[in-house]
Amino acid sequence: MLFNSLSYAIFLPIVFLLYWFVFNKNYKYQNVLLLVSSYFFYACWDWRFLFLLIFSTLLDYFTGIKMSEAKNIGNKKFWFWLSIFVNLGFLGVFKYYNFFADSFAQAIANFGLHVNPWTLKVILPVGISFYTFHGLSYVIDIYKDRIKAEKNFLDYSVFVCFFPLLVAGPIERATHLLPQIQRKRTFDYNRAVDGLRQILWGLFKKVVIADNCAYFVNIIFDNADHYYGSTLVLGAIFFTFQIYGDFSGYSDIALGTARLFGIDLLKNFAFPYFSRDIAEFWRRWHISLSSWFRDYLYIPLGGSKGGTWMKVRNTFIIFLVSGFWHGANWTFIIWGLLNAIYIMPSIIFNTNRSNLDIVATGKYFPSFKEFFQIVITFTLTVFAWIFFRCTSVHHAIQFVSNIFSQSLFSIPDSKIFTLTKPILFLIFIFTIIEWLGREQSYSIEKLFRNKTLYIRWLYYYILICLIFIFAGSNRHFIYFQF
Amino acid sequence: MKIFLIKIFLFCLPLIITAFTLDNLISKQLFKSQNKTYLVWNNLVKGKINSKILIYGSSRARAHVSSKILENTLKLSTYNLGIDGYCFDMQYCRHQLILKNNSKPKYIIQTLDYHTLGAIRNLYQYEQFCPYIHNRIIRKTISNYNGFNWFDYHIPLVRYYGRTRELILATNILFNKDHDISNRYNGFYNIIKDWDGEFEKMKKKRESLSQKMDNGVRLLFENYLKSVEKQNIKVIFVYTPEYIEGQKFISNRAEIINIYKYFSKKYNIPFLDYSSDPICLQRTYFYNAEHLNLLGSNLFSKKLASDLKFYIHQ
Repeated sequence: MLFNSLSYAIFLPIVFLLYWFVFNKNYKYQNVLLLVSSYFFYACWDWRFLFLLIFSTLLDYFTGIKMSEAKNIGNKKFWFWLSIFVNLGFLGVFKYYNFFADSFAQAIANFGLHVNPWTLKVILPVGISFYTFHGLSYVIDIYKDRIKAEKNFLDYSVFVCFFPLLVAGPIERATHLLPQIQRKRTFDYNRAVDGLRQILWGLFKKVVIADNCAYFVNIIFDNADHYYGSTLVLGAIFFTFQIYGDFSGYSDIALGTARLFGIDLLKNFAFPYFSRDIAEFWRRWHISLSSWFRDYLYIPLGGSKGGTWMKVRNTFIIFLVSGFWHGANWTFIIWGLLNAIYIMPSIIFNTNRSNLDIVATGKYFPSFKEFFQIVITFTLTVFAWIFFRCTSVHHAIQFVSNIFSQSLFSIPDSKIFTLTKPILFLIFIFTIIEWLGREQSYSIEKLFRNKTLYIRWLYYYILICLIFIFAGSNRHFIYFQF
Repeated sequence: MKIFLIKIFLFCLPLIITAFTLDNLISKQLFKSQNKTYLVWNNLVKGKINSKILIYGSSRARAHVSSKILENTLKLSTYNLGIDGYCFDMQYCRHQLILKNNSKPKYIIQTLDYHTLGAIRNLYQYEQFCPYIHNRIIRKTISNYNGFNWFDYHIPLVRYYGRTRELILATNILFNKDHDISNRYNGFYNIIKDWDGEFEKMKKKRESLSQKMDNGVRLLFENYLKSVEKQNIKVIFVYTPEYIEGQKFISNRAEIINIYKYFSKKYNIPFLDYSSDPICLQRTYFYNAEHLNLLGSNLFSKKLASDLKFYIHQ
């Protein structure tokens, strides 16, 4: 069940009404409803993987309790490593097995030996990377004595499986989400309206921006050798907006949905394309994953305490792992590596925390320097996304070499350019709205807030009309494959 | 909570009313459309096809048999009902609409392909059915395909969601602007186009193709032949030219043609097979292995019209 489907438009109001009208006597009943709804939501993709999800939940729940009850450190370590091993084992089998088998066979072939790797025809369970990381953060936090193990299986299951975040995050922390699940939620009119507003904006980003970009991205990337370098640049820019609209749109819908149930999820995006350097970009893009890697990998590796060399090493590790987390393909690893290279100057010269504020706060326009920095950061990001989107390293190299040819300075292919004019206009409007709303948690949070009800509603009706008219044909979310 | 629900209701009310109104308005405009996607369906539903000769078949019929050339040669009104991307079941749907809304033809030129008796699962160019989703005959046929779901059938406007082209077309018709008027002549449509090389690409991917026959479609085809015989409509089978290399690509082609020969014999239907015609040897007449270009279709239509003189009488 996709967030942008009619099935979800029916599912959500039903769960909402049951939650606030039938199960509202006790928050535990509400949790039962959330769990059943979440399992149903997940089973709509493939009910068989529900067992994997339940097993993963049970594993972390029991190992968590066993760790907290352990009388000696050895025992605690045993349960901790069991959980880590099994969690990563599942991820390895379902997500990475074929990649390692194929890569091994190719490496052997370089020495003249030919083996037929025994590959598995496995379907990647939706959201496995997200709920595995969810569970891992919980287990690591218990092991490090940051939190106590949750004894209530229902509460813990809702923490792992809460449907808005189940398939593509945000990757939550027990310290943030569990307390909200364990207390009574009261209906708040303003929060609910805010949730609906964020859902609407998320839908606009996904359906109008991302899905329309996707159409041209697929054409241009699949026929890279037929187009001018300038057209390929256009394709890369479209992908940059596609992936942002797709994933931040998803996150907006998830956050808005959770708010309807009186639950606040972690913010996942903060206008990353207005970043002035790559370090700022990574503080604003997929925040829940970046902070996960910071807390559970970068800091345990020594973080920035051991001098410049250790910072450089750890940064490279983080970005390589981050790339690999996205998928079992060398293209993702190169994407991670590129970002590590981009960020390196600021790590070495210790300027990675120089842009912590919001760009041009309180102003309509950035300064020339800020504008220049934004353009440079955006260009570097666009280039890295090429590797993320291409299906293989060969494809990416071909794409990049076609860009850096004489045709880079030609006018983009007229047919593509003519067809893309409406979407370029929509992207332009979208960028302006995002710029104007960059000081809020999502761009339309306070837009028209001071106007009358009719003006606000008119604005929402216009958004709904745009969604209806310009809905793109691609309906799937990119991050579901991770 | 009450205020929230009341406001939600008040917010949605205009949307619901608009959805019903717009659904009706868009469909009504598309009913008037002269666009090549809708023209033939509109003529079928409105009963505007009252020709003596009808041409049935797939895109090969649509592109190969010129209604104008047949009309000029045979001196009988002709309409081409060939439909892109479908097997016989959709052709039968059009046949039912002919019998229900239009006058009965005297002759049916039933063009045949290797996939006439096959079956496809997904609706091809599904937007062409949007305005007619509530037509009983069309709905019965399209409900056998993947394409429209429960929401499309029961919730207004859902089927037009994201159909920018259709929405612009309907708006243009509403405001009487010049919209995309089709250059189809009585259903026939073809273009000047060179060989597109798709066949070579397909051959690289696989050596040959075996076309599956669908028993249900075969039964439907036979029942249709029986019924037209009873209605005194004369059917003529025509296997229009296919590029010679393409013929070799279909591994069970001979078996399929034998089925058509069997029906031809059983129901005493003339069978004009152009599989060995010299046109099939010349790639300049085709834009792909199955479709003649305008040059080829003009040449073929003249030849066919001349051959049909023997079977068709004014």
